[in-house]
Amino acid sequence: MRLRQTIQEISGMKYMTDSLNVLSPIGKNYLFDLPFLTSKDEIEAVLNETEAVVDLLNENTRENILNLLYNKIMQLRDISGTIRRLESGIVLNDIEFFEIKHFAILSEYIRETILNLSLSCIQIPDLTYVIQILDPENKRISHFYIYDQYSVLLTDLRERLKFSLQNETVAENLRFETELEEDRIRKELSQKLSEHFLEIKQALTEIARLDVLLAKGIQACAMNLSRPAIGLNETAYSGLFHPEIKYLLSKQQKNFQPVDISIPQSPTVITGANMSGKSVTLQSVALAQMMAQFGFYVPAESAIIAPVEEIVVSVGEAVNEFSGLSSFAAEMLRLNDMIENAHNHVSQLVLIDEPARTTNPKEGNAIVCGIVDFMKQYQVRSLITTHYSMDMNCRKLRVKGFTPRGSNEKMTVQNINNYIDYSLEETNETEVPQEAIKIAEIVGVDSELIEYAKNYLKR
Amino acid sequence: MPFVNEILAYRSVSIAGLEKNTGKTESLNYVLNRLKTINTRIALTSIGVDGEKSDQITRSPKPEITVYEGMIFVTSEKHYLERKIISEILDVSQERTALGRLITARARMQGKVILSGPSGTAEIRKLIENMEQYGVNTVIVDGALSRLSFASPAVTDAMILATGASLSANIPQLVSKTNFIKQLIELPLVEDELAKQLQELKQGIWGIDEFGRIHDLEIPSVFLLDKADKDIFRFGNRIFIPGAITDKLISFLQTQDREVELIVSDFSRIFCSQHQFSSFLKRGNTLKCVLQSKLIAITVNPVSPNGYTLNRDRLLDEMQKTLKVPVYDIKSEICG
Repeated sequence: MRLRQTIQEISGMKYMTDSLNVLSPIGKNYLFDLPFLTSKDEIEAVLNETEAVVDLLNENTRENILNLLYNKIMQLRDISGTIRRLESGIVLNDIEFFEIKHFAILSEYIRETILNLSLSCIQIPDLTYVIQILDPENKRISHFYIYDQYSVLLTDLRERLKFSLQNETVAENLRFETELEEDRIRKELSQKLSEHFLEIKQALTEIARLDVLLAKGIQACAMNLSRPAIGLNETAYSGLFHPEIKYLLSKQQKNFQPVDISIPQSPTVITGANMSGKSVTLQSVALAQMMAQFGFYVPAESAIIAPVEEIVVSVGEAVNEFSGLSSFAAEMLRLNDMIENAHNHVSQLVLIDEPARTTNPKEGNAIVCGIVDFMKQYQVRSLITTHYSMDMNCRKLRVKGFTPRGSNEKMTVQNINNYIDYSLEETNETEVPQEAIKIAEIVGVDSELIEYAKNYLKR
Repeated sequence: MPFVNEILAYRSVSIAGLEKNTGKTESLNYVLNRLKTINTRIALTSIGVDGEKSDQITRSPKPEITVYEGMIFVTSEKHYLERKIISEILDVSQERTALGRLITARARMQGKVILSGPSGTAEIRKLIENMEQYGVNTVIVDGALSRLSFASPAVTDAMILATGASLSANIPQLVSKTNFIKQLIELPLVEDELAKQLQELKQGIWGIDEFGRIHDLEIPSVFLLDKADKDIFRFGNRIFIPGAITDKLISFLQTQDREVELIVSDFSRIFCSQHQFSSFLKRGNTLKCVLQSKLIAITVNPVSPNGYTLNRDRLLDEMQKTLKVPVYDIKSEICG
């Protein structure tokens, strides 16, 4: 799986990639092509690199060098097409020589800067020889043409051409000879360069990697992300948050309340009133797990994460009306992914938001209990939110929910989050909070309807 | 050396042809030939081929331009690779046109190249700005046929107009048609203070009151002007329209019999006929513009593509008398 596939799937992932300041087109390609890592060592290795950049950024004394570096990275073009042509032995044209020269000069500059910054995780090959091939005047400016210096014959032909411009026939002949000589030189240059195509290719990839790495570091500092410890069994967060929702709340001068949660290798059922943040917790867990396994810092104060091979997420109304399935049917079928993984012993993190909520409560409840039983049986690391009363033995967490406050301020949909404690606590109760009508009142549902509903509740 | 020094006084000059075969290319070649010995850095480009549809349809090739040593030119990837000139690539654009990326290069020796630059006014403007980094004094833009929008003062500071027998084979008519365009180009400017404010307005219809305050007339499009339910002269007789000025619009305004002062962005927005234009002015209305272009010179081609040749001396004489700008027969200038 590549990063680009997760953007639609995981809430908040697009926000994270959009706010990554990747400067070059090759960096962007590299970013979206990042692989989903499943081994502890691989993830740790990438996190080490990110940490090196974060340390560098925190030093504060390197700002000028870094700005120059950003400036150079910004000038990079994607020359992978040209490199492929070079590899296949085609004779390049002047525009392609220009591209390689332009790239090689930038690459050398970046390589020297990296050495200065002691960023040893980036290994850009030395392209001095490539520059020499394309810069016979030794000016180190990324202009290019077939220079006179390439051959004595060429110098001579051009000199003669210059003085024959008035005589069209002579000029035409000389022009033809010049072009022949130029083409011979192009062939020679292409041959010389093709010996170095691997280095050029590696330089391109390394700079793309550097671009992404710097962007990751900057984002980690700006958003207060933290390096997760990579565990083998344990997954737990303290101060977990969802950056996109945090940002949206901050625009309304509201705070995001981070949560602490641990996720053992067995099912955990989360209950809580409507609007108490259950879905957001699920989405935050999905996002953090995903980010960690793509080698990013995670949105939490601290985190320990056990890598998994699959992350199965079922949150919200991701129903495709055109598939002809009802929301219930689509949801049930998605469970098959989890079941198949369990049967195949694929390690997974399963996050299911209110399963079977769209059917009758009696059977719905039974289905949820069934899912939990299955997950207990197969030791599936999972979080399941529900409004059903679960009379069964499993780990349960409850959102603390409404906290009465002394003030006389009327609770409204605007200020409701001041009255909710979003943190989670372990519970053994089988009953779930009965606050649906209260919430409906707060969000402003007509009182006549509320009264009718209350009458039924009293019966 | 006629009008060449004047070209160097501007940061950007466009060369526009009023009709095919009016000698726009000769005009450009003439100008470049004159500029070659001057120790000033010149850059040139053209409006992209997709701007010049007629050439694409008739499949007649775009003409080659002779570029001299030291001059900078911008053309598409395709035409760069087909060049007959020794030139050094200075930059390759990130954006693509229909013919590939744009190549900026400096001529190392005189030679020929087909120019095909960006296809939009915004891109041309950006290109002109970019040329400053190469120490360019003047950028010459080879304009597209019957697309005067590229000669708009919002894009280039000054222009050279190519006209000739292919526009009309009758001298008085040719002079009159050319004079109409000259009149449009040289519409009087509104006062500076107002011009600054009006430049920001890109659409709608606006009334200007006696204190120079600008009011939205709340008419979404000029096509709805005659359907407006409120009096469009409620703030006075000065009306500013940044969009297209058509015959229908002019005709509507003049029937109101209000001695209107119609303000336009610049001449390139006027699409009305010569007849409608003069009729509007004769009735006591006025036309002003926010941005004015400078017409440096007019070049004429007395030969029409069907072989008809106008009397060269009479043509030049009558043009000069009526238009009161330098008029040149480029073909004989080159021969002479």
